[in-house]
Amino acid sequence: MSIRLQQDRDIISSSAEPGAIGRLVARLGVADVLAIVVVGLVLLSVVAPGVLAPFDPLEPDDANALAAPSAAHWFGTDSLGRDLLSRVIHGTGRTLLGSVVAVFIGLGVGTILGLVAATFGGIVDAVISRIVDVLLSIPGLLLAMVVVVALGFGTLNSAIAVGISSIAAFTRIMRSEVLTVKDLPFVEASHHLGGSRAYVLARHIFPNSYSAVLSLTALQFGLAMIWISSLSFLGYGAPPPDPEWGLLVSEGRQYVVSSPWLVVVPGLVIAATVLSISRLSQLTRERTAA
Amino acid sequence: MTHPSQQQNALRAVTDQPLPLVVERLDVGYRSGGSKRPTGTVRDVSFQVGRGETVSLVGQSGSGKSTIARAVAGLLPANGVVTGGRVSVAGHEVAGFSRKLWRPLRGTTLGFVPQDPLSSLDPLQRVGVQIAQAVQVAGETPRSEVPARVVELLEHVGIRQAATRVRAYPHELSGGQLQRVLIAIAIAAGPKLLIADEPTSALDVTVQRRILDLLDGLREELGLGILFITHDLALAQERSDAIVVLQDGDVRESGAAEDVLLTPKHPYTIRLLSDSPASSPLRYRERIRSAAEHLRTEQRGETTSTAAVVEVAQVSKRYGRDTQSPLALDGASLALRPRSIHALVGESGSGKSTLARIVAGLTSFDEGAVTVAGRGLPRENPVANPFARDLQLVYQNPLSAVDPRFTVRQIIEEPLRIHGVRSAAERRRRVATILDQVALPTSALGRRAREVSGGQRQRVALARTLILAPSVLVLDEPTSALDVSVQAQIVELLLDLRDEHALSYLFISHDLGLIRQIADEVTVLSSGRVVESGPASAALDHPQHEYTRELLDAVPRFDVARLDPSRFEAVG
Repeated sequence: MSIRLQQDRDIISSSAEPGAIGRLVARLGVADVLAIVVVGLVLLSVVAPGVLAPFDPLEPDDANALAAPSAAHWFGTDSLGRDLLSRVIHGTGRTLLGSVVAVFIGLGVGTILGLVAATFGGIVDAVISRIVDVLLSIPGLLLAMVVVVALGFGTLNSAIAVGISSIAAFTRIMRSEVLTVKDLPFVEASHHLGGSRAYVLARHIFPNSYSAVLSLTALQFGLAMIWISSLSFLGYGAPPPDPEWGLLVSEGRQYVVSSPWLVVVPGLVIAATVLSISRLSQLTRERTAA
Repeated sequence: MTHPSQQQNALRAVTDQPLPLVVERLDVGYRSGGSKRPTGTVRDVSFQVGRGETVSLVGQSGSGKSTIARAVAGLLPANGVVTGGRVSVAGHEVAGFSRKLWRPLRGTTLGFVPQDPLSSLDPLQRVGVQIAQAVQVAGETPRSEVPARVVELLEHVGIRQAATRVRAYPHELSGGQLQRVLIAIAIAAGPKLLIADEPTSALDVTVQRRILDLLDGLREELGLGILFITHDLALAQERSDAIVVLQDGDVRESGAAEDVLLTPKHPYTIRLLSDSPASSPLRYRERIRSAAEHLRTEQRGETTSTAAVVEVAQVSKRYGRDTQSPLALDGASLALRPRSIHALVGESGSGKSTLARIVAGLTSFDEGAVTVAGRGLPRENPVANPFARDLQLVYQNPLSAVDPRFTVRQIIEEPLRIHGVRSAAERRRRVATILDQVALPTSALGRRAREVSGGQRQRVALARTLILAPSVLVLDEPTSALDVSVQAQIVELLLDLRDEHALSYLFISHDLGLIRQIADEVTVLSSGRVVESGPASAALDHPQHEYTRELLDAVPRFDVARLDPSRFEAVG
């Protein structure tokens, strides 16, 4: 199975299809289509890595150690002769799961804090906002490292650390959105119809302020992936021999002169995935705005 | 009303100078959605404006009157094109001119007075600087004399203490003064033609009159031609020599103002006239009278119902903590009798909106008492309105008062959900009933508020408030954003609903013509005080207070006595 072929087939099949989907695709640019294809492949490797991967990611093959990319090993092999493509594919789930956990924490806690701060105002708002200021003033990755050192190393802990360091951004956005929405006439109108504070918050303020936060989510997802990979690269994340993406780059570092693909290929995969997700988030934002 | 200058004007127009404006068989279209061929918006429009003459373009929104003004001024948006005909401004053939060709003509042959004075000036520059720029466009004034010329212009447009006012920023001036500044800018370079695009729609009636008097004066003094765009027929009749009635981009009728409005020929003009409150003040008289009589006979039987449904006693309100700031309301009182329409009148800043919001429980008040359906309103309101089933407010702008994510069905259903009607079948049934009463099609239910027309939006808003079966509606300028014909439909609906549900209305409006049509009682507010209160006929026909008189005089009025009422009956 080849990535290039898969892409071509995707493009051909969707553009040849008449009707609504065909028209939708016709309006998309090349970059949009590529982004959709990359995200599709990433999702497929999360769901069924065994189907895509040509080899066992943990099976060493001494005869083929540090082989350059070839027809048999598309991404080459590492120092133990393990197929890099298979390792990348099998590592997808772990890396993405970490990002999902991180975003979930950031989104959940940040949204609630922002909503509370904007709704109650006064001293509650002041306290929350100052904490957020402090969090924002520390570089995110540094904060994540501090947290992960406190929690102990590991995939889940590094995800939690990244999640905590992204809370501030979500709180900020949610707070400002709620502040805008809660003074709009329709909110007052709903209170005037007899709606209680909780009802109006749940039915009107929250849904109307959430779209901006959701589009930040997709952006933050890519960022979380980079941070988690960075933490793994620095040795705070998943322990070897797990094929986590950041760890792959880290392991390849020793051979960067003789076998550069060990660093370059996983790095490109991370970059492509992050770019595709952010492209997709822009696309959905344009859709919802239109 | 005939302008004394009209005949002179006609004479002046015959002189050998080119006319300020000649429009002949003009077609304008807009390109949209990538298509090459523009779709026609204005078709085959011809008229001309002579020296010292005012010509009004009259029509509803979407009639193409602004498109014509923009085409004449060379201000069409990028996708707009003149597809046929000719436009001649003071002898220059300008149809199809590029921006570059236009530049030497701007200001010197044509001045433009925009609709909204507040957003048409640079807020960061002193008004003197902005006028000076316009003076320099003409290039005739030497640099050293520009400041003096600016002061002269400001005095010309009637701004007192012009020498100090040149240093003011736009936010330091009132709406009327800003419009004067814009007029000064428009005439700075000595144009032959002035285009005024609804120049007074954002202003109060008394200010409107002064601005229009100023324009009239300048027209006579400088021999300007004025192309006046308005939706207000009474205004057009009062201020112009000729009128062009537009509908959907076509000229329906044109001619001397007198002929068009006093003896209209086209059915569309007749409909406009009969829908406009100013030209048909007696339209609902029979209905109002019979409703009042009906009520009186009923009340003789049961004396209890004569008590007011809303009573406001000596209410005062001051915004902010500063005790020096003026009172928004100063001991205002009024009583809304059951099944009557009580109009609240006043200029902006008079406190009428504040009073309406206090009655609706949306704004707190400092002193006095408000009673709604026998219960006293607390001074500080709880978040959720406890009076929702008794009294509802209908917002001025229905679009902003509904959740943009909601469909029409969700909007109308919302009060039922809030008040615990859990059964979906029951909600569906009540929505269907109310939909029928406000004459909304069932097909509208699935749409969002921005996807239905302006009139339908106001119907949706009414349906939402009526589904709780309140006894009082507070209507805050419910028709001010609507065209006259749509306004007439909504007013008709409001009268139907009142009869059907025994409603009482507290009706806030600045449109005295509309109030004359429908109100039983009137309360006039000025700077937070009630200056006049009483039956509508007495207050409007024999005003006691000077302020009321001033307000009434400022309203552009039809010479109703000369209108032939039988003409309208065919349409009714």
